[in-house]
Amino acid sequence: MELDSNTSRRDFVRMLVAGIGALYIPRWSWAFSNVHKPEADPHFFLQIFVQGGLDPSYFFDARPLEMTAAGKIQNYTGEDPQVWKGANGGQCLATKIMDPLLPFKDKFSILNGVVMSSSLDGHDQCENLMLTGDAFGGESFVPSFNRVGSQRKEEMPLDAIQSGTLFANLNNVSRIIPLSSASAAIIAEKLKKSKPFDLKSPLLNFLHARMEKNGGGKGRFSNGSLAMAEGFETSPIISERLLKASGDFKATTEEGKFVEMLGSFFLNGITRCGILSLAGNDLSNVDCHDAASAKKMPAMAKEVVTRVSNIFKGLQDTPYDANRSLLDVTTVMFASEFSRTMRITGSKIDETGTNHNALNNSIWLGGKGIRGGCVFGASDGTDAKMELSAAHKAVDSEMVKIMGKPFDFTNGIPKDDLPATYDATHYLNIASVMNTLFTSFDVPTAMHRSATRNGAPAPILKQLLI
Amino acid sequence: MKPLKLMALGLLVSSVAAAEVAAPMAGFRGFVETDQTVNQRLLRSPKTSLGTYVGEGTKDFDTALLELMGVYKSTGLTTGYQNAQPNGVNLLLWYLVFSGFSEDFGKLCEDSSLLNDETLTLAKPLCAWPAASARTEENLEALWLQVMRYDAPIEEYQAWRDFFLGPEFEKVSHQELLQSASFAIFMNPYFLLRK
Repeated sequence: MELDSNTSRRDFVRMLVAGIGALYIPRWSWAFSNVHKPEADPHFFLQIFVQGGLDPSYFFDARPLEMTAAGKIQNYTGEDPQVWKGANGGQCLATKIMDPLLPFKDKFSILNGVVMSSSLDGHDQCENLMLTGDAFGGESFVPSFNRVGSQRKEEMPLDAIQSGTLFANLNNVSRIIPLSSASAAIIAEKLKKSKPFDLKSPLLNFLHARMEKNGGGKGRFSNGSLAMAEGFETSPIISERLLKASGDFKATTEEGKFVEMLGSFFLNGITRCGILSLAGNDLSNVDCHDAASAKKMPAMAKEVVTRVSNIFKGLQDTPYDANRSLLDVTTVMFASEFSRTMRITGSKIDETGTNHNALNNSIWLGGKGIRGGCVFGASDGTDAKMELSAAHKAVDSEMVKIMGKPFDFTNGIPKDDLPATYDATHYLNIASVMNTLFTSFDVPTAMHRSATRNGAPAPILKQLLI
Repeated sequence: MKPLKLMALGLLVSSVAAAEVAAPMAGFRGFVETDQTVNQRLLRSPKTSLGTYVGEGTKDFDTALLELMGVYKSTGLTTGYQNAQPNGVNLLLWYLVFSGFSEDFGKLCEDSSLLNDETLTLAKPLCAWPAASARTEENLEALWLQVMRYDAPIEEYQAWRDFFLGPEFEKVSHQELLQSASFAIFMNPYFLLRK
């Protein structure tokens, strides 16, 4: 971003934010205009998340039944998976459960063999890693898609709206709002009957001044009061836009309503991102350590795929404007925090649960800016011989885990090397996946993540971007 | 390099250290505690919920709307106080709550059913507003203390008092005065934030 004499205050703040890598700006709300003009090149983000650690062997990283027969990996579908070929020459094995996603095959790409961590495999640790780049939490990446990046024509008053919860320690999420379509409708209904939120009125102006005055210090209360002043400034804008955006959403499912609301919120300039954490129904047993829960994984996978394909359909069928669908203007990410072990040591292969496996993950990316229809990366342990690298064995002594294969970033393909030692920079790490997303949203490289502590920014997967 | 660039660079460098640690921030007391406070201090019986002004009774109030205003909640692994940091949406909800409640509060001279006797006694002198006899510091102080108690420093009271004794409210009706003056206390950071 170049600064010149015409640089706006917003761009100035953006440059600061980009530089410091932090998302706390004392005053930003003067950046908002009451009038939202739809952007010429809009770019939004939807993160779909399933908590608990989905087993990708029921999705797009399946294993042949011969491995089950050899006692290596449980398979409660009882069926051999089929080859899913990517347009880039990559491929994976997918269960038949994935068939509902076939109509959207060219709309998203599969990233297999994504290493989350070689040492930490707690739910919150891996969610923190994905969301913040730090296993112990910190700044969520989501606000950066709204607040920084030269592509953004307008900073939305909300960073994201969220449905469902995430197990993460995030400290910059005050503008990520858990909001259902029903709640939005109630608020809009009340707003219609209420006096307009007019900051120019002497009373509200007085209150705002008190909030600012009390926000002039450095302590907790002062920061809270300043945040109130900032919230007060954006409330009228949110109010005005919410009245335009809230409608009678026609979808019959909660996800469908959320997608409809998201589209309306995008169009009306309320938020840049949506976070949809899928839960309920059969998804309570995703973290299937016990055999009984693991046996439900085919049903859970079916539910996940049905719901995700409905979301894709909703995005595809919802117009953003006369020429583009919501999917055309939205980058979509689907992920769980990690994958699962093939089995639990000591259990029979047809009576086993599965434990956490942060050495591998399968992430799907699609929509705007993403080259669809491809398969990138791969995981090891693809047949009953289980020829594993020394690097793998060093971090999985029981050899019950599948691990991402080393990755050639120059050509965007997995490598069959069997390295002696583990070097995170040689793998398709979660840091690379996130940096690729950051690039798509013009998040400055100064904010990119490293695959190692204090290392250089992890390379992006440039073949995934268009 | 142009001045704006130099300024940006200067601020950038000086901001790095401060940015490494997120500043702690006081959040809202939350709906439940605020509702209790209003009921205990002002209302005739603890049966009136502030939630009635933002959709209490609808099926989404407990699970969604209430949550937006600050609640203790478990995320499965941890339990903590969620959604309490002030933002444009929860401010909007508090605005709706206290716009509605203050409107009813402003009717105290005509309808005494909402407020407790102590509040009515202390606020009744303001029913003569805008008469000079009503526009006194003593009358305003009584209202302030009844609502805010000693939760705010004296400077906060003084600013509020001066505002309502100023020209903006010199000729308004007692109903408008009571509505606006109570609203200004309810929406004050010292009333809403957890210190």
